[in-house]
Amino acid sequence: MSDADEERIFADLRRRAKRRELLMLLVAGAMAATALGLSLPMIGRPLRWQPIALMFGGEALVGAVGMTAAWWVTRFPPGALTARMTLRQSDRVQRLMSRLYLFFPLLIGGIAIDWALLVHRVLREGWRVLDVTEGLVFAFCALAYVPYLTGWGVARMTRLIYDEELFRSFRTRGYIAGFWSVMAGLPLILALGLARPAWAVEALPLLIAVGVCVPAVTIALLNRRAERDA
Amino acid sequence: MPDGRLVVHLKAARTEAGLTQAELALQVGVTRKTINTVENGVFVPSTILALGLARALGVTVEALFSLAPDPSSEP
Repeated sequence: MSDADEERIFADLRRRAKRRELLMLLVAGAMAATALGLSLPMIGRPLRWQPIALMFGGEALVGAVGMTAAWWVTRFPPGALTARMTLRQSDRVQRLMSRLYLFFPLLIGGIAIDWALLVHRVLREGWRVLDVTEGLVFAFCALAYVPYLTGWGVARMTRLIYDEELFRSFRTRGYIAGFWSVMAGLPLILALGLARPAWAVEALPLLIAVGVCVPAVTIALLNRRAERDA
Repeated sequence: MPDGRLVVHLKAARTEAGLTQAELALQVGVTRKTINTVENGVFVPSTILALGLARALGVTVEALFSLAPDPSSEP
């Protein structure tokens, strides 16, 4: 394949990606409208779990259908993106990955604080205090770590960069930094547990967040440093 | 990880071959950043990558990498 052919395919892929972003924004708008529409009947009435579940269910359904449709309409033709083309885009992809990883502490930190607060309530009042919304938040907090641990969601071609020798070495160093940060936090958790066992359980989500964020930030910083020329 | 004992001649060999970092990276099947970090001595490549680089540039691995003299072995 000539450079001109590759440029043509890149242009097509960029067009599709732009269209997909626009469609995703529309889907997000439709989700918000659905949530708003389904929450209107709840105004001024005592809070019950059924309408809340209906609101979340409706929103999730609109989101799932809309996003699947947006993806299908703008999907890349099979085999369009070759390994060679992915490598040509590697600088851009790695820069995006770095930005995403630097954003991790905000995202995971927020989730961890939510999680710790819920754990605090459950320890104090038992599982029954959680309503549907909180139960969903609780499940989301727990599930948020699954893609991180398994590497799900990394596109097949992006994986080429993700598993490449240099990036793998960054990941290894990141995981080692994460391991040591968790090891450093564990005695603190132990001390908290000795003072008051509930505190140790409440602090665990925060330690898990540290274990996730330290590798992410380390990888991002190493990646940025690697951009510099000698 | 950088290793002070390794002397890297990759940049000179690549320039002599008339290739950019991106072009060499494509030939070897790695990212441009990998080539950049190897050239800067920030990253020590695996044996497979070193052999791949040598093959792409048509030189031996020893022409791309050498060991700095060991100061402890000097009289």
